[in-house]
Amino acid sequence: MGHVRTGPLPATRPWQQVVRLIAGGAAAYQAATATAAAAEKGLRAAADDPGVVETVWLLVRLPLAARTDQFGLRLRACGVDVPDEPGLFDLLAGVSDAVDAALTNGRGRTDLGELAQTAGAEALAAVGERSNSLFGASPAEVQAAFAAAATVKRFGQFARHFYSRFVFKCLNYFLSKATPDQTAADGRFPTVDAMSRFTDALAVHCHEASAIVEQFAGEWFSKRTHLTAGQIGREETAGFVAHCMTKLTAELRKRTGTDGR
Amino acid sequence: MAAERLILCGGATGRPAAGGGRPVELHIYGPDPNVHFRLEEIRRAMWKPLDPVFRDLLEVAAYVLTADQAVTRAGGGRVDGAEIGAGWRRSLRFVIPVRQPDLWNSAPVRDALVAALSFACEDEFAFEFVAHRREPVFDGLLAYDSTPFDGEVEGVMCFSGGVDSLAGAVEEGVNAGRRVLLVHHRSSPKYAPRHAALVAALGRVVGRTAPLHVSAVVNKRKALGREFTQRSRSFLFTALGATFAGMIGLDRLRFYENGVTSLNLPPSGQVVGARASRTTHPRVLAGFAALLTALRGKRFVIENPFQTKTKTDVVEVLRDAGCAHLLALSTSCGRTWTRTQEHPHCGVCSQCVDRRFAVLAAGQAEHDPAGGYAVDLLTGERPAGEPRVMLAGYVDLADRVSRMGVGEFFRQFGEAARALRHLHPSAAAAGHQVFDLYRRHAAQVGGAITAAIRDHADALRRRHLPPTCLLRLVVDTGAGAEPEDREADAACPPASAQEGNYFLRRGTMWAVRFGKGQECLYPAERGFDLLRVLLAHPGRSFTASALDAECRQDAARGARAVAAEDAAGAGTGTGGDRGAEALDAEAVARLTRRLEEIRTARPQIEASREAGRLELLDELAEEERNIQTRLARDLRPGGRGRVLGDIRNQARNRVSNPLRRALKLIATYDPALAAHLKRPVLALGHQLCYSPVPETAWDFSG
Repeated sequence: MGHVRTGPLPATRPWQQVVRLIAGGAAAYQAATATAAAAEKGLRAAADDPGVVETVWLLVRLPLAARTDQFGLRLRACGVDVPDEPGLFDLLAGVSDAVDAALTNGRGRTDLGELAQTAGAEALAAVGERSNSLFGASPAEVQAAFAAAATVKRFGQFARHFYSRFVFKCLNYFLSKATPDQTAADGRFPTVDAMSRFTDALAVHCHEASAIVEQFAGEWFSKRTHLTAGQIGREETAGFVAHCMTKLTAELRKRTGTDGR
Repeated sequence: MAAERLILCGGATGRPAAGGGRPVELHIYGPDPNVHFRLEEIRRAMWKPLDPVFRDLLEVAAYVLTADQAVTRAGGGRVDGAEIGAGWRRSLRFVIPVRQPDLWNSAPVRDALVAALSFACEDEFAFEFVAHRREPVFDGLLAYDSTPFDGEVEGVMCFSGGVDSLAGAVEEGVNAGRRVLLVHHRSSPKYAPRHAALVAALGRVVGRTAPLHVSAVVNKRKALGREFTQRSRSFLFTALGATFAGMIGLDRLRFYENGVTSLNLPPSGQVVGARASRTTHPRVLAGFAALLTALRGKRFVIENPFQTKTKTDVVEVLRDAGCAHLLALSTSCGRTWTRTQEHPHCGVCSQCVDRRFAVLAAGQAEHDPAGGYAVDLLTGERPAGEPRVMLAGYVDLADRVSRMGVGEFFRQFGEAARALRHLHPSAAAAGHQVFDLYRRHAAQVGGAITAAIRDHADALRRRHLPPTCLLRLVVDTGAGAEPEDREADAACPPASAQEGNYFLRRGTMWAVRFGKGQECLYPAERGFDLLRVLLAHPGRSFTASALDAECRQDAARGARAVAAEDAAGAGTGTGGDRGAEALDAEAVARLTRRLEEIRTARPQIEASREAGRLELLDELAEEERNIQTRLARDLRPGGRGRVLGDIRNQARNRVSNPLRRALKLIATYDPALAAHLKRPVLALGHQLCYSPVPETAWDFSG
């Protein structure tokens, strides 16, 4: 019990190039570009992935529900099992379980969907972090914070946070197969801490790259909320995911970014 | 997800799905069983005729665990192709004969079974339960024991023989004074004597309330053992535990597993979903409890009393009860196939790393001899691959958590959200419970590392420890003291702080920066060597062969291997025409002569004691390889040379192809430089020339 399964990167040319770059000392931004190029086909599948779409759809519906005086009820109608006045932990558990429930018996479950689901929970946990943390906040404060995320600007930030975590997780999914092998006192990363700083730099790079979706996400949300009277559906959410992932992968491939060594 | 795999059990029939491959046929009964299932150490006085539902449950669990091992997953999951991680998840459809098909096919039972297993294993499950054509004789699977039984068992718990379940047995027997029944799954006879010794020692320690022990042997024919992840193992434990609990009249089963292992948050970005085992995840245990409740028609509870404890806390339970000496007989290693009598622990799997950290953090190393680990946690060398992934991930996770508040923890570990509903009625209380648990774990791991650094300070200072051991990986000892380390360091020096455009060799890479962009690294391939020559001579036109020659001269200065190829190249008919041979007779003779020289020289060099002889041998070996490659490429059978095409085209291709590959790579990483290196700035026609306007200065000096 407690077993953990890991695996190497494939021996194909693009992935071995990623390994060589890391071994050779490439900065996080260049490793991100190489990884995004090697995994582009897989990343673009996000829009067709039920787990990704369900997660994003729930994140889209959450601020809309928070603007009503039936926060809990509206969420339960979307499949998120929460009390009438949910706290932040109720939302984290409720949204995560709702995605699992939508993929009954693992049907449609993929690694991409898993990464989106955990990124979704992490994006929820980040709501309100700029002002006061919502951990320990009252249900009313939590609702107010999520209701505030229903504006163009705030939803853009909310979506950016999700996509930055999602893309980071996707890239780190691959890079973490290669970085430990380069961790040795006489290797690229002389300590675990150096490896960890590389991973942190990757997260920063992904956050910067995901700025590309912020404006678009805010405007899309505002427009679709207006057109659908707050009933944004999964199908249009899939289109939103497709557009964001196209923008993001293109940005990662062309971005030289900040020096995240 | 992979195509559905049909699992036909106990002689059942069914049609496989298209592309699903041959069905897996499993038999517990009959003349030729391939699933060996047996319940051992049963006390006659305890055994009561089993309710059919439990007979079915045990058989279903045995079939599920065997199928889990018979159908492979794709490594850590494939990363190429349209679906990332494809091949990890499987689709398994079982047809199983049972005694009560209506009950098993009922929605509450089937849904609960599928929900628990699909979360535990991350596979898609389908079950079809059919009636036995002839009911098998279950009692033939029982092996009785002569130990007397007085009928006073107060609880049933699962007992793997690892640290956690051992501490659980001590908690029950010593601390609470309760006699419990330990239910064990013996998957391999290899460690049965060690396990028996543990049970006997435990009995002696506990005394009057010594636990009873029963074992289930569930293994399969060797050919069926293809997959070792065994995510459904806790289902078998549950089935065994619930069966015996039912027999004794209890409606409760205990798993003792520390909370960190139970939640098993991913230690590395590549560990997604059930790649971090969920065998005792609170949701899995709740799922199995729901299944048993549906099967029995009354509430059944599965508890994990160690849910709020770390592994170090668990070792402290043993210490505080005066039972730490039992640690030496417990076995935690997940790699059963590598275990030996001398080293019952591999030392590199996640279970071994976790166990050893806990023992050190609890100050109980004297009871868990370091010699029992094939690789020492602190000073053992970690080869690349899983051993280093596991160690680096474990240490990194603890280090990260130690710096986090509760908000940051949940902003980094979204996976934790899945457990909240199953830990505490209040999600907020559960959230804080999880965070406190991990914080304590992080502090204990950090404390163990700090103490180890103190104990090994001298060896660390002198750099006597291997470069991939834990202590070298957590203390930046620098790599500059030893000559060999210095050499390695030169291969990857830190990022250049230089301004302006530069094109520098850095170890095995080229480091290039242009304009206001960031530095990018490129492999030291020929295209970049050629590009460097062009950039170093702005405004100068080269023919393909002149550029080739210039580049080779450059390279020859640094590498003897290239020089060898140059020597071979002298005979390539550079002045020849279309139709000439790639190697003329003179060149063949020269290369053959050189081969002879190398072969004659090698034994003499090997016998000598000169410094640098090993390097010389390496160089000769490489030169020999180059010449052999050349001869193999350019000589036809019979010894005549390969006929050349147009030599001018050849020379052009020799430079333009690698150059174009290099430019393509530059376009991937540095669009600004790629845009700069377009025509007319970089011409790659008959004349190759770099003519930047305005003038662009490059630094090649480093």
